[in-house]
Amino acid sequence: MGDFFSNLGLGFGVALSLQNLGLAFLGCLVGTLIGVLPGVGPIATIAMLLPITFGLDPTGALIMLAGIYYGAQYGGSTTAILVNIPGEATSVVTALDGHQMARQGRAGVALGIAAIGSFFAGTVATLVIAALGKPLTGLALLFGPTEYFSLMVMGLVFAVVLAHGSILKAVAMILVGVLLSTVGTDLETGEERMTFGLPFLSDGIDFAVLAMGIFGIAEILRNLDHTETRDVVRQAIGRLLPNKDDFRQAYKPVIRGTLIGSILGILPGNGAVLGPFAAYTLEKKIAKDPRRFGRGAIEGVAGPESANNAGAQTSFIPLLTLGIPPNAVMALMVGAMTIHGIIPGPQVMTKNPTLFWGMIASMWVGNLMLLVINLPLVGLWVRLLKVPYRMLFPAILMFCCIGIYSINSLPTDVMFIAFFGLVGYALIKLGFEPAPLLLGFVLGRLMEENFRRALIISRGELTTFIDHPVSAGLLIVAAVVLLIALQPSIRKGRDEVFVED
Amino acid sequence: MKLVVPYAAGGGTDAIARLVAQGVGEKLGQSLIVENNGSAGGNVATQQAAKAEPDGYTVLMANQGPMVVNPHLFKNVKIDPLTAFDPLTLITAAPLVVVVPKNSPHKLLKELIDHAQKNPGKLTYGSAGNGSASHLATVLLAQEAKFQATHVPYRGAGPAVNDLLGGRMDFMVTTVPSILGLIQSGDVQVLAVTSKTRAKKFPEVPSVAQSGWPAYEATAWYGFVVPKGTPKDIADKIRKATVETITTGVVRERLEAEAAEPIGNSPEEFTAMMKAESARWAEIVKKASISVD
Repeated sequence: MGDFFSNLGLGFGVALSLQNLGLAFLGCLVGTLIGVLPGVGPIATIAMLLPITFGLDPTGALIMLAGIYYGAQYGGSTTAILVNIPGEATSVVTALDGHQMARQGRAGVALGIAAIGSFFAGTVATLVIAALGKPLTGLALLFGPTEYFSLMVMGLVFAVVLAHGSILKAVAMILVGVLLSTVGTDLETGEERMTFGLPFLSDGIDFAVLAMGIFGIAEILRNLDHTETRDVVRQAIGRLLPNKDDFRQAYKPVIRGTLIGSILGILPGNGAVLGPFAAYTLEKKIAKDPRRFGRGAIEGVAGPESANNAGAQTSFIPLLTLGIPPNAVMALMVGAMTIHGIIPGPQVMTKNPTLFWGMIASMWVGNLMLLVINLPLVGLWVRLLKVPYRMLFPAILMFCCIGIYSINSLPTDVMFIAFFGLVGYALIKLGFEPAPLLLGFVLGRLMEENFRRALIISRGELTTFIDHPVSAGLLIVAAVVLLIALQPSIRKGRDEVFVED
Repeated sequence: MKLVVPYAAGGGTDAIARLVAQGVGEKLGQSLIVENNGSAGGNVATQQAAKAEPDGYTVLMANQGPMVVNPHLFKNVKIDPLTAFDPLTLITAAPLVVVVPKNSPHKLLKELIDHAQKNPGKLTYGSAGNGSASHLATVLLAQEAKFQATHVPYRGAGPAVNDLLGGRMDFMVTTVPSILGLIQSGDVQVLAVTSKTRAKKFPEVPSVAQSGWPAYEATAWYGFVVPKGTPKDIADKIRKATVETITTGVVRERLEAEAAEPIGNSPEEFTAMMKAESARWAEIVKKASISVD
């Protein structure tokens, strides 16, 4: 324990130097900005800024890059709340209730609780990394393709069971999402599937393109045909920050979201994406009045946002303790470390203790900075909604187009968001919800690839999913949840998770 | 000026490309902007670069995959990369490493391969993806050493390494940066390097060729090429700036940290090398009967 405190002390000594404070601030600021701009993601930004960090010492460079990463995670939620555009898979669920709150004039409260929840989650996750980083590595290694597949099955079952309205429609949307995820080059055989020979489809559909079209553009179309709803958004601004009642409603979801997000964040292969979905599902399941969800429930923002940030933080664990990057941003961090002559791996902790603990301490500092940067900005963002819609929507459209073009420099991507915008609009009109579709899309690819990997490793034995205890456990949970939902009496009380009005 | 990089931003080689771009830009007195496009195994970027004006404003980071492997692997490659470009110089040819988890009973490459020969198809190996350097190097190893093992493709080396550590893979051939930390901590053992001779970085580790398969060599190499017809004087200028950049300072250090030596050979040598590589991989791909539509 004494070690723990002296280590953290060492870390804060590094993180609180004037230079590193400045770099953390700069990183968080840049991250927030690119998070707010739709389409511009942390991967491209970090790659572009990498050469700038060559002149810095490695700790400072990594502190800044890490700041960009969690700044972007946070900034993505801002657009999800304000204009219903989830910039990352992890902010899809934030858009559900967050944007509803904005429509009801509670945008400030939603942004505020997201910032505060994220800060709390970041603080806890930092402590988790500092105290348990090493032992938790074992958890990551326990998860192979078999376990991963079962985890994804559980994720999809949650979505089916708790989806709003017609169960049939929800299942249909999930399946469409899964199907869309199979477009592109097959990982194992290299065959192109459902690409119609079109080269721009050969790498599949980009998540940002799908999300921006089906949420963002569809939202604009919907606003344009209901004059009254958009007036609500721009006129009623309401309170800027959460009050006592809001906190009372939100503090438990924040704690639960933090726990869920922290655990899922450690898993390799982007397990963090499940965090916000799982947190939302849980909040809705245990809520006294689940019908409030999807209509601006503060718990529906607090839980997933905390899970999102906790996961962003704990996903550093595999990188710091094993040198294995669990996602593309972490792969960039590996690049940044090696450029500075540090070899990511189990020895970073002993060979470069100032870097290791300095980075961990800087995560907490960064989270504090995000709060400092974002709380004053809440007023500014909310005022953005006062801009007349006829001026706001062309600006949003333009930013979407520029943002999406900047990812792959492909004009077809821009046409694709227009296409998915129309699809999204049609879905809203027909009473289908886009959120299960996105969930299916995100989980579909992970599920298929891990299913096939698991079967290759087991040489085709399906029993592998039951023989592995962790996998069997997850499947049992999924089956139980499904059974409960199918019982008629409980089915009557089944309530919605993904609500689109 | 732009440097077309045929893979997505963020990988280890992308980081090196950016370092080189910065150095070359400074030497030429203008900025060399990196443009990433990893679509279709790098084929899209390579085709775009081939079609660009040969005015010296477009440089392609030519790597093994799109230049000499994909034309034999993919059926829809519309250009011949060997004739569409004027090669400038080879930047480096990095060795890969054959690794096993630390609790593996095999301490020598020979033992691993003996075991694989006696149990055809029973051993499992991960790779960074179908057609990746890590996959192809293993395919070649299996051909040379005459064994069969089961391939599990991942998206990138990271998740594959995770399953190697988790004991779900028996061995893996992977790039040095993707596993160096775990080699140093002793969590995995290196049985061999895939270059012809030992690598300076791992003086105690033999090469595959030295372990009993003298014909074996597989490296991940990349260099700079420009679209065919780029004026010679401009091409020479870019080449000179590139060679200076890679053989000095931060790029040199960075390459050496990954067990890769900066090369910077002549256009003629680079051309000859690509031709030889292309012929060799055509053979390997045909034998392995892997193909990508």
